[in-house]
Amino acid sequence: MATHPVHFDLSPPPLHTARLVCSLASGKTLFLASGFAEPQPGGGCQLHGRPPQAALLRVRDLTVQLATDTGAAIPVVEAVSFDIAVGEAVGILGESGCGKTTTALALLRLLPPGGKIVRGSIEFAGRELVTSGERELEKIRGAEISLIFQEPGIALHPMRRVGDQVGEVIHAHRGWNWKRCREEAATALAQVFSGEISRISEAYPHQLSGGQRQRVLIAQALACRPALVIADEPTASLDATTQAEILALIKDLKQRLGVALLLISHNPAILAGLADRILVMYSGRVVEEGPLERVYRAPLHPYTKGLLASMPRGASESPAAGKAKLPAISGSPPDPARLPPGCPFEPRCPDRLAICTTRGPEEVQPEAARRVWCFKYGG
Amino acid sequence: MRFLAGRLLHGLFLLFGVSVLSFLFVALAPGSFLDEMRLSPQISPETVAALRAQYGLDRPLPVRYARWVRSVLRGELGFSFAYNTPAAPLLRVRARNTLVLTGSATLLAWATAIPIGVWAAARKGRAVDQLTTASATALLAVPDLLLALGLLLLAVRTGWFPTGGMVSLGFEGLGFGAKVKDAARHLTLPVVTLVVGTLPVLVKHVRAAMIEVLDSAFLRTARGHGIPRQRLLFRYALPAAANPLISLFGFSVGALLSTSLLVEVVMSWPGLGPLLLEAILARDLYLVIGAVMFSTVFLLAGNLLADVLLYANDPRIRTGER
Amino acid sequence: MAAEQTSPEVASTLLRVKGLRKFYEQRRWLSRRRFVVPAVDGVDLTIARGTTLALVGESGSGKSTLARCLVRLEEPTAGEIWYDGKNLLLLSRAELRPIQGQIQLIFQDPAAALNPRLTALEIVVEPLLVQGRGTRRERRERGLALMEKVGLLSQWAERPAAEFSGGQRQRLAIARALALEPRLLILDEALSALDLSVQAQIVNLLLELQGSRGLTYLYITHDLSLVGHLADEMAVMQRGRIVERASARELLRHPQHAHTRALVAAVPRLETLTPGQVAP
Repeated sequence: MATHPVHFDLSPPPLHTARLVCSLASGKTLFLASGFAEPQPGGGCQLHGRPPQAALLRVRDLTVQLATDTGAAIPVVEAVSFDIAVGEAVGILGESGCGKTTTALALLRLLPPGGKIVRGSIEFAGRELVTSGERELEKIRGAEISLIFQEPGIALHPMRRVGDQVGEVIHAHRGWNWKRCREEAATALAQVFSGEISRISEAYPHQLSGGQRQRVLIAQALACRPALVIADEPTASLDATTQAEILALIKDLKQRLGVALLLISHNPAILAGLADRILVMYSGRVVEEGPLERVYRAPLHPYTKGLLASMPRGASESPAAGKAKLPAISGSPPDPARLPPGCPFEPRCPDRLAICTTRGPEEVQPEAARRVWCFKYGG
Repeated sequence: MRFLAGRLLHGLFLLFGVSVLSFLFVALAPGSFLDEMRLSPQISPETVAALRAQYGLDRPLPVRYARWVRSVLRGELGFSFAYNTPAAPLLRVRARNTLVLTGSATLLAWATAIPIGVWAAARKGRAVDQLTTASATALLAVPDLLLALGLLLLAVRTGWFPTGGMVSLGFEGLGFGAKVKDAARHLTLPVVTLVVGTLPVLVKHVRAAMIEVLDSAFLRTARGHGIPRQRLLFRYALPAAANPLISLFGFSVGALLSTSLLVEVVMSWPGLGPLLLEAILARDLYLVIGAVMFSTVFLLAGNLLADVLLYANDPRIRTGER
Repeated sequence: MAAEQTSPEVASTLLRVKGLRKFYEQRRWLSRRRFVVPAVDGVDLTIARGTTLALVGESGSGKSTLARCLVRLEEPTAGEIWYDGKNLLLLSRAELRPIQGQIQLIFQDPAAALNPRLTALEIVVEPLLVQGRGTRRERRERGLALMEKVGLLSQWAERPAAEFSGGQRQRLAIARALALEPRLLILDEALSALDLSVQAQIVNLLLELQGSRGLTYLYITHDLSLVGHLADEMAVMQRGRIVERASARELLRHPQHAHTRALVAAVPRLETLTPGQVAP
């Protein structure tokens, strides 16, 4: 899957200086008053005085636009809302161009230059991330919310030892001396590798296999005991057997560390067994949400139905003799720059109604804990 | 180690080749040292012929080359007809002076170019970056000679800087601090000329290399881990961008050397430049070759340094990328 | 060794590979040591006409090298390749030319396989241009027909390839491959980079083309999920060698070799709750 190259803008936004001055002036008081979650070593994340069922992440009406070369603004994410509770695993299922990666980037305000959050709120542990300054975000990234990108092959610095790179993350957030950071890095690596890790720690990325590099990225993400880990297609570009290993590792770590997980994938099978709840995204919008088992067994939205039906089944699962056509959704996803006025899935929908071309559907709750955006169920 | 030995061997071959070529060029150039004497009516043709034999100018080329090589191995580096002494002492002093000038200019140029280039790349597209690029392009268009003459004019008009030479009269008598100050004042104008001449190219390259790295996945990941901006730029991005810059460093040494010869002549810096010019005009064969060889050695040393730096910077070269 | 083989049982085999070897040699400068890397180490394969053979293996197993040897992008170190009763490695360049169009390769990355500046039509007719077939108008007609066959609208003919999505580009690659009326299509991870719904569409297209044109496919992949839908036969490759070979159905249900079992177990399944466990 081709991903858009994400450009990197290191310049601070103009508001930064003012905020910096203010935060320096009030110093520690501001730090404590903002309700920073104090990560505890050796365990999950503990929030000051908050009950564990409270939402860790609360996203409301998130709308992101990307600017094209011509300057036009394209809506890439439209009115996305969801919650993630402490220790919960949520999956986002969707194909290329549905806005799932952009949503993940927006959560940490890592959008490419030209990307803008035009609306919405992202509340993390009581703080509003949409209006946070770069300094505060730097503190959160890697320490409270970690992001594991796709492409493990190029996500590590080619000229630095892998152990040092893990240590860097620790150093950036803890401020310990290098010796202690390296020891802590070794602990982090021991979580994801079995056996002798000194050889891995001293290696350079090009000396490791794809699966090993992905493990290093996972170790980096977990090094500072974040409360939430966002994993965007963590098994892309990996071999099948390595894929299975990494997924098992992620599941194991989630259970042991109690970390909340936002797992993004285009393959429903990858999310199965890892996510408790899933959101299905299409053309920048959430079209269905619910507990994973329920959604897979009884999908509501026509897109979800079509997607699950087009999954290949191994021969051991399909009763019919080998070679057979797959039920496929006809057509292609719409161009985000030229969206039709109604439901974006309407042109390809086998169950379309007249009302579907007039406007986008509203949220409907046909069952407990399930939401769908489709006129078939009201909306 | 094998790597280093390989590069040294390569360098030696190069030196050999350069020596042969420069010998050929100078020896085959029309005219010889004794031409002036020949024109003078006071000196008889027999004297000239005797001098020719004495200087060995009547021997065939390969023989003369061999004799020169032997002289090099003895440490004399040939014989200067004009100064009537072995070439080595002359060359050594001048070479040292050139080294001081070129070395300082290289250091200063890179020390300035890197922060500016990094800064411009980090603010790509904004006013600061556009200003930097525009000024760099403008400076690039100014010929070095014009720059040198312009600065000389400044020196003459304002008297802030000396207009030539390396040290003032009475240098020996000064205290250490005063010596340093004096040398620095003399060094300023030539160094500034050289630095301003090479800076635009370096800045553009640093900026371009950084921009390319700033787009890469590992930098995004590091930013996603909350690594602070300063650290990202200088400890993550710069080393990754360094490879093409290190190669450029090798080139820049060579370019700076050529320019420095010109600048030395214009600004009366007692380096290899003026010596070379004089020697060429006088057909002082061995001095010319000696000066060329020294320049070549500096160039090779600079490139060897670049190779070593490249080796040290990029582990993929060290361990052999799969 | 005769360059041709004819016999009734051979006639139904389109491709036969015997003892194929491809070694890479690495030599360090000024050193006596030579590293020999056997990418393909003695591979035997047969593919019957009109069927699909899935060649399955992980990265480094040598499957892509094998594919490249089959189309002579790489020269094999040893072995024989019999295509339609002719030994490809013994043919001269001139004799090879008419056959070259009959074996086509489709790669994994649709973005890299197409020149983004060329228009869709230009890409599809390029092979015809290279082989000097037909007039300009004939080529254009054929190109449009091919585009339609793979499900691309003819009004997109003048669009540059850069404007197409991944799935559409892969369709273009297939259309281009069909231009010279091939008999054998080698799909080297051609479906791995595609979204699920697009994958399903392309699989259906491939099955339909196989039915209507009698194409033979060699489907190379590391992911077993689609093998059941596409392949009749399956061969598993590990470290340059074929370790197991049987009908696809048989191999998927009852894998014998340890490596095959590992590959089958690694397919993430919806029904099982733990990825990595074989469904009961």
